Amino acid sequence: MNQKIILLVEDNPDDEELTLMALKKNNILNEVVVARDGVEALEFLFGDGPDSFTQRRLMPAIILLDLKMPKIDGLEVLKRIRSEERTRLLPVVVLTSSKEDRDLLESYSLGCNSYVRKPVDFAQFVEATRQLGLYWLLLNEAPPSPPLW
Amino acid sequence: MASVVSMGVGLSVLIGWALDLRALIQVFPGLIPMNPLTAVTFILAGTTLGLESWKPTPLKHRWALGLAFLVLTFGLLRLIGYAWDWTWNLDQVLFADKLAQHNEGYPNRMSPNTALCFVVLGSALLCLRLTTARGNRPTEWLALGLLFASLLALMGYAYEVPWLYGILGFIPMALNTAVVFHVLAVGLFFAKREAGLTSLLLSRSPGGALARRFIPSMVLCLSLLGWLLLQGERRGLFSAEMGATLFAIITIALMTVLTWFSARSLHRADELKQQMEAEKQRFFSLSLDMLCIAGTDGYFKRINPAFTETLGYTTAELMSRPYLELVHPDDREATMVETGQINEGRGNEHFENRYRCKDGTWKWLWWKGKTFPEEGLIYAIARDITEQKLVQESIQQLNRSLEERAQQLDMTNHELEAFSYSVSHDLRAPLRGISGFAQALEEQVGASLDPTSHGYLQRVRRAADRMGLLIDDLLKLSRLTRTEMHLESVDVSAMAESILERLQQADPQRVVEISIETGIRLQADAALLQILLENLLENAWKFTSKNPEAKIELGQKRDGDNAKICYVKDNGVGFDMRYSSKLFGAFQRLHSMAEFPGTGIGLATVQRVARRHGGKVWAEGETNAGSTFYFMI
Repeated sequence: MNQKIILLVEDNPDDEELTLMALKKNNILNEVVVARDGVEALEFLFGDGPDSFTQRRLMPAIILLDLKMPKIDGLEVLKRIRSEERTRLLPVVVLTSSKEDRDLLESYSLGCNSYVRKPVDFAQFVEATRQLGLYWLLLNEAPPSPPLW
Repeated sequence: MASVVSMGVGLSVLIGWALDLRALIQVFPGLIPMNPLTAVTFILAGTTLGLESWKPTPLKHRWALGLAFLVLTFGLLRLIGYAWDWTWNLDQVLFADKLAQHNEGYPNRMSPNTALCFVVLGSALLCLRLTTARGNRPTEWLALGLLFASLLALMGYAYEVPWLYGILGFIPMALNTAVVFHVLAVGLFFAKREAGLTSLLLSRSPGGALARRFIPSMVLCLSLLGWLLLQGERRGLFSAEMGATLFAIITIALMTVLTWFSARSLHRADELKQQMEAEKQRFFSLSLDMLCIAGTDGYFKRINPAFTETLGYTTAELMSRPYLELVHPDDREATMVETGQINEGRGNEHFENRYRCKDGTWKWLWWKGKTFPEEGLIYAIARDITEQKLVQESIQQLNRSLEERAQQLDMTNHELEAFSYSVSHDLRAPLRGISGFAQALEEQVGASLDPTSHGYLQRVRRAADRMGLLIDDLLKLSRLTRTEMHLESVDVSAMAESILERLQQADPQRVVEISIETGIRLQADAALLQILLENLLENAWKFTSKNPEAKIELGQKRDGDNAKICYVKDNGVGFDMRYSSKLFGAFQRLHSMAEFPGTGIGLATVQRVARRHGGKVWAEGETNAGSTFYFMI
């Protein structure tokens, strides 16, 4: 099994399904962990539960992060990821509906690695997903894993 | 002047004594020469007068006092000498040998009247700066005495009455001595001009003019008349009785003429004054501003009719009570401070308070005043500024409500922003679902569907895509009004050229004749103007697509007011002028999607850009004959 895990943070079940479909359509068969809001995402990343990355002693290769979520939103999650030593260098792609300058600016200032706007048209969405997978999972060299465990 | 004459004569007499020049000491042969001590004392007196009147300083004053004291002492010594019959005296010290030669019956001494005159002169010089509490100056009275004493001696010489210049058989006063005393007496009068008798003599008032004219002419005429009559009498032309009668008659005539002239000039001056007073009085009653003279005791002394007109009280009502009673209680303290300030004599440039009118209303008054403490009066002018105050207040109120409105607008704007943000995010998410799952469905069961169902699925997807576009355009439109503008000079021609180049590249097979007027520049926000031009040119590109000889033109012209108008003209499908009012509304379209794709947001965007620049857009067109879009920024 490929060890490069994808963490998808998405509150909308439709978008979650569409993203999974798009990944599958692009033959990206890596394990996808889905967090359905910010709290869950932080639980996966920093918590102690049985499914948490801490327990599994590994980290996701890429985080696909939605911005607008209940409880803790994407920007807050991003801030936490960048402030923790263990996750500081994790590649984070903001995947959202918004194209507001304000969101772009804040995401980049908080240190996201990429910002992708989800297209309405599914074909375009599939194409976007393909390029994301190709780039972040194959082309890109991940930063060295921190000696955490 | 008098001091120079005095010193000059004194010096020349001394030189005369030294060099034996009789003309210098005697004036006329046979007359008594001036005693050297007299000459010395004249030099001292002249110096004193000069020190006191020529740029006086405290040091000079001290010297002057010392010299004046010397003058007084010399006179006194000589007088005491006469009283006790001393043979030796100070006047015999200088040129003693020569004095003995000049023995015209008497030893040459300082005469008693000369000595008395020096006592008077010395005292006058000592109290030159003294002014009594009642404004009298002792110097002037002393100078007056001196004037008469010297006049007496001069008249004696003129009328040849030795008794007048030599008293009691002593040596008489020399002629030149008498002249110098006369000059010095006049000098004493004018040494201090701003007070006493001199001030009247020099004043510009009719009284001053009268004194200046009357006194010298009277003195001159009467002296001359007396001398002439005396000469006539001595030559035996007429008797003493006749002379006296003539003197009386001529004096009466002379005085009558002089008095009449003086009376006439006084009368004229008075008439002129009355006329000016009347003029001032007319202006005083005519003035729209309220003019008043108030006492520092808190009462009005004089007010003009504007006061009664503005406040509604009668003059008597206003004058009979302290004016502070009419001042608004809240303004009283400030008014007291303010009048306290002007009580110190400072003019107050600007002061406002409220006065109660007879009908109980309050009037705002704007004051300007000046106090004359020595007279205990305040002169003041007030202006009714109640109307102004009301206008000012309503302006302030307007400003406040405008501010409130601006705040509300600001809040609305923020709400709108929040709204468009959620539109951008929340409305698109379901669309993605619709589009995505429709496609998934199509892929999974597409093969088993009949063509109609297949078409439906495609329609669902297309509809979702189109709604996505609409939302995007709507957001763009709302963003137009939110972004900040930076005005600069923009090259419209170059911008249009690059846009059309891009359109040509995206659509290489199209042949369009393009004509762009070079050098069009506008003062505008570059990003917004780009959006405006893109929309107009894309429209032109789109709506000429069915014309094989498509033409697109960008140019500028001037309107009646010489304002710059730019236009984009094409020979595309055009539009019916009946619908021109709908062109610039959001989502308003004049063509079907099938004919020409589009969201109907483009021209609304164009209009919004123009309006943000304070400009406007309008269009002319004809169905199938092209259209022209004008914009003014």
